[in-house]
Formats: sequence, C-alpha cells, structure tokens
Amino acid sequence: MHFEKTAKFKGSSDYVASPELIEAVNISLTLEKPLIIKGEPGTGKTMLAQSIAKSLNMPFFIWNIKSTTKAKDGLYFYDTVQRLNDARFHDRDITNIKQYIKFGKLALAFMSEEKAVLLIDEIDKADIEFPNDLLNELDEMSFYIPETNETIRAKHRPQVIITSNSEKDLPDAFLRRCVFHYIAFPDYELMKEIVEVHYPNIHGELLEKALTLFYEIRKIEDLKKKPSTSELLDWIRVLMISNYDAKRLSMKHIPFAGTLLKKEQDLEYIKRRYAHF
Amino acid sequence: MTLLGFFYLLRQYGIKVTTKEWLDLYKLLAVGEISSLDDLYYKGRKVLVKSEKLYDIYDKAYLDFVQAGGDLKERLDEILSFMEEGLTAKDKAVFEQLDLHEILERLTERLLNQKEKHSGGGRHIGQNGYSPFGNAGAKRDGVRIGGESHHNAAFMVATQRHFKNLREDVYLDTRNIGVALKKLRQFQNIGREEEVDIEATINKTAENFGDIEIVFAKERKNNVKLLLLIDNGGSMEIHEDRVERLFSIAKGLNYFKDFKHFYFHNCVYDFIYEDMEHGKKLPTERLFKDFNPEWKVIFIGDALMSPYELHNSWQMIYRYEKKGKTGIEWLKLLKAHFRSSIWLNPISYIQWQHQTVKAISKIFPMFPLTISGIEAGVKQLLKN
Repeated sequence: MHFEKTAKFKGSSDYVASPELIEAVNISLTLEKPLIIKGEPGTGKTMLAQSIAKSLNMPFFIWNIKSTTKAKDGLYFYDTVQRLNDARFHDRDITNIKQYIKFGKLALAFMSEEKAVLLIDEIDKADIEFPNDLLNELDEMSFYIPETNETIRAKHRPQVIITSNSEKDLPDAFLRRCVFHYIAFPDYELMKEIVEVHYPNIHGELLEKALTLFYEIRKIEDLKKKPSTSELLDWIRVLMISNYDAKRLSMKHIPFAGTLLKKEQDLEYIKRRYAHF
Repeated sequence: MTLLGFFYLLRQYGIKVTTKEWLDLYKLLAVGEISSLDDLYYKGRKVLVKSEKLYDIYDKAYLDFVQAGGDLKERLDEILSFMEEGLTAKDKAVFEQLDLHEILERLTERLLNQKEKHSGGGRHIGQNGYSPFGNAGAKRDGVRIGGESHHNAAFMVATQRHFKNLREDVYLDTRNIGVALKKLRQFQNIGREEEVDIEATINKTAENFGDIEIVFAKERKNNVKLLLLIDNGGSMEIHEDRVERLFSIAKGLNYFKDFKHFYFHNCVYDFIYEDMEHGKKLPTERLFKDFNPEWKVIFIGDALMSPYELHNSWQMIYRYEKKGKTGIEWLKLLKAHFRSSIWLNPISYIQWQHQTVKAISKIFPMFPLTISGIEAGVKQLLKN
C-alpha cells in the first residue's frame, strides 16, 4: 500500500481556516479524493482552495461553473474556426491539429508538471447531470481526444476542491467518491472576529448588542430566509453610519430591519410577533 | 459494539454508507489519522456522511454507538494497539507484495464475511495475524496515540444535536424528484421540420476549409405537456411540504413543452381553482376545451373524503340541490378525456383501504408520493 507521507495543510497567512476545515483538507489529501465544501455563501469556500495551493506551493487552477457549463468544457475544445481562418490566410501550418486543441481547466490540472490544486467552483450551478458526466475523468484521471488520437493522462492526481451552495443536490454516485465537509454557520465568537476584520473601528457595545440580536433573529424557526453574514455586515454598517444608540436595540426594536430580512413575510412576521416596531 | 457495528448502525439509521466509503475510514485508521473517539466522530463524518441533512442522524447514530457497550473503548484501544505494534517482518513482506486495489478488494470481501472478532490466522481482520488488513501502513506514518483534539469533545457535540435544523425529508429530496420527473419525456423527432445545427455547421464548414456544409438536426425537444391537479383540501395540509416541493420542482425544471396546474378541494367538482387563496376559479368544463387529450395529467391528493363528497354533486353538498355532476363523475370524465393520467397519493399504503381511496384508484392508476412512486407513475404516463 502506498500511503506516502502527504504534505499537510495548515492554513496560510491570509486565510484562517477552522481546525475542522484543515482536517477535511488533510483527509482528502491523504485519501486522494476530491473534497466537497458546502455551506452558506460568504463562508470562505472559494478562498480555501487558493489558500491550499499557496501554502503547499502547488499550481492552482480555477474552473468556474455556470448554468451552461458542460463536463467537456473542462477537458478540451477543438477550435475549427481558427483553423479555417489560418488556412484561408496561410498564417500557419494547419496540418498539425494539435495546435487547435484548447485545453480546459481540468485538462490543465491533469497536465501540470507538479501536483496541482483544481477548484471546481459552484458545481451546483450546472445542469443536474453535470457531476455524473465528470465521474469517469475524475476516476480514471485521463481522457481521450478523438481528433488527435491522443489520451491525456494526469501526471499527478490533482487535489480537487469542489464548492457548492446547495442550490441543487449532488448525485450519490458522485458524493461517494468525495470527502464531504459542511461549513457550519459561524458561531458568535467567530462572527465577532469576522465583523471586526471588516469594521476594525466598531464600538464594542454596538458589536455585542447587534450580534446578540442577530443570533436571536436567526433562532426564529418560522423565517423564510434567515439573515446571513453578508446581511449582518450590511446592517452593522448602516447602524454605524447612522450612529445608532446600541442600547435601544431589541427584538421589539429592530432598526433598518429591511437590511437584515429580505422577505416581506418575514418582516411582517416579526412585526406581528413582537409588535410595536 | 465493534467498529464494524457502527457501519451497520449507520445503515440502519438510513445513512447509506457504502463499503468503499467504509474503507476510506479504514484507510484513515491505517495511516493513523484516527486515534480517538473524537477523531472517529469528526473524521468519520467527513468520509461517511455526504450531506449536512444527514448530520443530525449521524449524531444520533454516533451517540448510540458510543453508549452501546463497555467494550467499545477496549475495541478501539485494541485497534490502536495493534497499529502501534506495527507490522512484523512477515507482515511487511506480505504487505509489500500487494497493491492497494487488491488489498481493498480483499478487505471488502473479508469485511462482508467477518462475523466475529478474530485473533491469529491469516484470513480475517484481527490481531496478531499476517493479514495486511487492519494494520497496514501503520508503521510508516506512526500512530498518534491519544493525540490532543482541538475540537469540543465529540460526544458533547453530538449530544447537542446542532444539525437538527438542517434535516429534511431526506427520502424525497429535491434532486431525486427532479431526476424522477426528468424521465417524463418524449422527444419530438417526427415531422419534416428540421432545424439547422449551427455549431455543427460551423465545425463541418471549417473542417471542409470553407465549403459550406449545412448540418440539419432533428429537433429534440421534450414534447410532454404536463397538467398538475392538486388537492388543496384540509386533510392535505400535513402533506403540504412534499406537494409543494414536487410542484416547485416540476415548475422550475423548465423541462416540459407546457406546464399548467390547478387546485381542487377534496374532489373535482364544477370549478377548479387557479389560486385557492384568492378564490380565482374557472369552470372544470374548460379543461376539456383548453387542454387536448395529449396532455399528461397528474393528480396529487389523498383521495380521503366522506363517501358523500365523492358520490354527490357540489350543489348537493353545499346547496342541498339535486343537480350537477358528482365528484366521481367528474373524475371519470377527466379520465376519459386525457389519454394518460395518474394519481399520486401522499398517505401511507395502509390507508388506501379507505372507501373513497379505493374508488378513485379504480379510475386512476394510483401511486404513492415517494420517489419510487413518482418513477412508477412516470412510466405509466409514458405507456399510453
């Protein structure tokens, strides 16, 4: 069995990863399996891959997924139009088809001379079948190009990091091949740090009162959409700009509530339940 | 309870851990990544549980496992100690000859056969054997015994059941419904109209060095038109979540040639509703005019009502007049009009013995509102 000592990820200077997240990365490095990171937007999923590449000194490739992305886009694209153009204007020797094969990010990560980190960002944006279409390439770490009769094989199995905002659920067959980590919503202490990074000058009392109220609101089960980090940051900014008196913050009195709660029903609900806005 | 017991416990709880995933856990054990019960909780979760919706169930299973019996600690210590002892020369020799795939395959086989703890001998996973399983690779990396954990104690964390809110009806999840409904397709390949495949045309033309070659492709569009008729009656309230999910997915898929939905209350009478809340309704007659028999119809309802609600007309029920069509007559008319229709029922099979459920299932092929039910229903819809 070849369990070589794999390089360990410890977080990088500009990215503070939670111990659990570091652990997830190291498990996926050990098992040589893709790591799926799921969590609410703004929990630093995308930053993570960058940080791994940086701290382990590995080449880094990002494959951003859109709703129209096909699995093949990650492999290659045969630029026939360029070839036609070259033929017409005699710019280049067109007999070599290889020069018209443009590689996608997955292929580039395969072909990297050193072990690379590949970020497949927001995989859930693509069609429901997209992850399944990738299974074969990720398993075999190779693919075939009929146009040039070539098989591209990974020199080193790239470390694949996949992020998902859980818009769509991923297929089981795909999940089985991955290590999975869910980034839980930041707790009070961590959130305090996050806010302080954004607003270093924030008044201590305002920060504490606002956070307490924020978590109280998040506890309400019936909300259609719970406020998340970005809403909290916006809200705190408005509170700071308006020089709001922190002492007046309470469930009965949520100023600029529209910044926190984006759904009309939620605003109504809180209004009804706690009255006298 | 043995560690393998944890595997079966998880599966019992409905976390469908596969053997491959379980082997990932063994690999982590083998390289010394797991050396305490806390490690088992956190690291095990990462390789065994692939959805945060299952985290709560995992917490419960873990608690059961930890509380299951006194021998657990011993069992874990046992695993750890033979990893610590490392491999004998003989072990090493056997171990070096095998490659990873083979080891995993054989380990799988053993795991499935192994019924009890085993010591000595070369076949089973256990102590003091020369089988490479269970302790393979331990020496290479060294084992971190009792390594300190930066986490909260797993047991405490599991007890708090943090992930309760993330739990959903895991059996009827969004993706599964989407996949099941996507089978409801009939590609239109008939007719003379063909469309130009622009991408293929450009490619072909370029390959011909500019001699234009137009590539025609048969239009491949889903030809299915889907009509949902949804029971919004009082007894349906408890199934609201599931029905809503199915509805929003069918709508969001953007997959059908046409998609329409209406509501009814208990049974179909003279009117159906576009919007129940605002009472926006139209005569049921309109269904026959506006929707040709090609439309595929899915009724969603519990079909539970008082017999008179099925066998009397709306006027009889609410106005005490003896006129109009009865509910069951309406249903039969709809059945006759549309070439294919099914009924999805959210209530459990046991209740299907109810008189009105029986009567309605004689008209429409009835399927439970579960993934397999939807799949079977879709097949039925495509038959005709």
